[in-house]
Amino acid sequence: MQLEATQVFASIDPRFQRMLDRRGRGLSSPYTVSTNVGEVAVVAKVRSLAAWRAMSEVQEGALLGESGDCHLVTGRVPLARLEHVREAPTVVSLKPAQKLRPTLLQTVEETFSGADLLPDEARGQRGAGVIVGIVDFGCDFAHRNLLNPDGTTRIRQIWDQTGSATPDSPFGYGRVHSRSEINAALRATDPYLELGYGPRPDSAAQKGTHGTHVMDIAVGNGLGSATAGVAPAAEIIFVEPATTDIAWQGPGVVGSDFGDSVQLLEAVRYIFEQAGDTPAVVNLSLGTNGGPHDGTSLVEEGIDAMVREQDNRAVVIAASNSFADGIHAAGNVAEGGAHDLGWIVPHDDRTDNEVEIWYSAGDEFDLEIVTPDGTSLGTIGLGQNGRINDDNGAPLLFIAHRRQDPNNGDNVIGIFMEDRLPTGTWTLRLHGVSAANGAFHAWIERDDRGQSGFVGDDSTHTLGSISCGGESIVVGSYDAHKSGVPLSWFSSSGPTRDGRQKPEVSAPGHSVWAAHSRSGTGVVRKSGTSMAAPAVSGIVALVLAEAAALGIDIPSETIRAIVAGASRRNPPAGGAWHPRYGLGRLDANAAVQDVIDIAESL
Amino acid sequence: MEDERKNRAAEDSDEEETTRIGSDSLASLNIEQAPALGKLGGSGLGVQLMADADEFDAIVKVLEEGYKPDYVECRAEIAPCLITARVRKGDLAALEADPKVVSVEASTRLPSSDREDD
Repeated sequence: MQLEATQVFASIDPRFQRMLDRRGRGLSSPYTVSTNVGEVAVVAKVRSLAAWRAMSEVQEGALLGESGDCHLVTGRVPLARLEHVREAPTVVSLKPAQKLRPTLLQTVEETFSGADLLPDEARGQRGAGVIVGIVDFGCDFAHRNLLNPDGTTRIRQIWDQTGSATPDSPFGYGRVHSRSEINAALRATDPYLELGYGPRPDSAAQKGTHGTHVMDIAVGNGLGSATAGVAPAAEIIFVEPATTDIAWQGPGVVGSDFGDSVQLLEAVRYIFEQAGDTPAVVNLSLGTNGGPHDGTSLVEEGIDAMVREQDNRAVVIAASNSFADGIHAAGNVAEGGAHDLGWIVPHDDRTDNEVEIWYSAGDEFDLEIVTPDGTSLGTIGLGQNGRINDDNGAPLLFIAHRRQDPNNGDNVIGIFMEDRLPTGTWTLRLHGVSAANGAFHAWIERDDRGQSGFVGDDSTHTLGSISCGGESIVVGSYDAHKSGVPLSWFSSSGPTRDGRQKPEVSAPGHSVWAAHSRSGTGVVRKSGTSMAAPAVSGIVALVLAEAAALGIDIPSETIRAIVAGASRRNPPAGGAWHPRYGLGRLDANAAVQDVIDIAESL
Repeated sequence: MEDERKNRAAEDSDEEETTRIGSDSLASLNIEQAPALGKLGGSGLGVQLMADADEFDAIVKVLEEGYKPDYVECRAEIAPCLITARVRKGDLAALEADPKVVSVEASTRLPSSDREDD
């Protein structure tokens, strides 16, 4: 037996090295009382408290005392960012520790959405008379934050797309649970068993379901956890998304929560149909990395069409969490020249990998693919496919180079790499056959179990696959627990590939404490633009409720203008759109006041 | 439902070993002309893999409001010119030839946008 040399960051406490090694081998650290999955509690010796607190990776804990010219502090840090934090100039040493401070109050106070923070003359009754649609995973209808004071449900319907179909299932699939069925289940000893639907129990991989957490931020009333969400009087329609078995599913998606774009569109259609003339906002905290990023995908076009077809409708979407993942690259290819794109597949990556490259219809590139040891496997021209199959005929490597996408006219190259191929840095060499424009953008598909990345540091254009539409309101994330409200280190960046300014706004999405499924009254901490989007959905519900109370209808463009006008600055500095904060941090008070002003001006 | 979720969790915890193939063992790319599927939109990869599948869910954009191709299993009318449908492999040629069909986009997976490592 021989010791195997590992590629683990060595200038760090050995216990952290072991954690990093485990992470590198694809093992996730389980949550503990004080940390989430993939996170570690630390005690640090730092030169500057301000610099320590300013790092968005750091979930601040306690100030323990002084040590010479330094400060001893506790906090929590994502394992993925441990090396980055350890190497920060302010950090002298880093060791394990624990400390937490739970609150959803930060979201409500920072966005001025609490009852006492809205304009005095507001009539919107905290979202009453508005439907908030949540398309997400795991609805805990029994959590007290989602019940009325008399113990009945606040949920109008749950459409479980994964449930067994009945004759009246929407679009022929899934199972709808009505308000009366939910109320009957709530009277049973085991409401989840009674209804035949419930949130997944906690596991080593997940602490609290995503959907319950998201829903609580937007509409929870605090009856269980004592802290209400943004629009606690709104009514709820929840859709649990399903997915179909698609051809390229592999181990990378096993056990993950994911829906798909067709079922997502049907979920939004269902919510708006059920809402009828009732004002409605739909929250979508889902997304992935691929796609044209110019708003022309049919899922984005479908969302736009549904929002436009009737006043008093909105769809709010999370920007995505890919800023630090190295998933985007861009460049120019000269005619007769070549551009090398380095694609790093980590040595411990045990998942399939995918890349998309989009470029102008007026150009023609050839793609040459080169292995990490420098072997060229061949060149694929526009309109050609290339593949290498294994002995059983299954694709190891597949490349499709398609001419003129029917929705935007651009050319696109898709590359699929199976997990058995060599790791290291592959080269995607783009040869300019003709290049009137020459520009290209490339994205690596999201892979939570082993994200590959491009060589170089281009974190722009990292919005999610469904976050580039024309009518949606896209939301970035910042940390409301820190005095400087810094951007979350993961919060994706705009603009869109065609240069439009998205995300529109930002909201607290970092270390947000909200309803913990299957706890009855408890809360759990989660981070992501997933947690920022429902804060904005809740604020849009307040806007729609105020408009309804004042007897005015507001079309999508007015809702978007209100959101844009109600965004606070500093940060972001200056007055211009910021690629991650958007137009600023959304302020519910200003948004509701804008509705009042519009009504008075009519 | 619960059993399925337990199974998923069990699968999730499995550590699967991958046997790597060396670069020197890889054959060169077999290059072929792509099939004429000009109306299939989205990722070139997704398009091709869907074309290889027996059937798949898709979003179909049509030219005329309310038009629903009767040779595919239409499921929902999302907008006047946009439907969702279950498409069989054999339907692709008909969709390609249908002058009232603008484009077809295969369904893509959408995970939740939280950051479990923070």
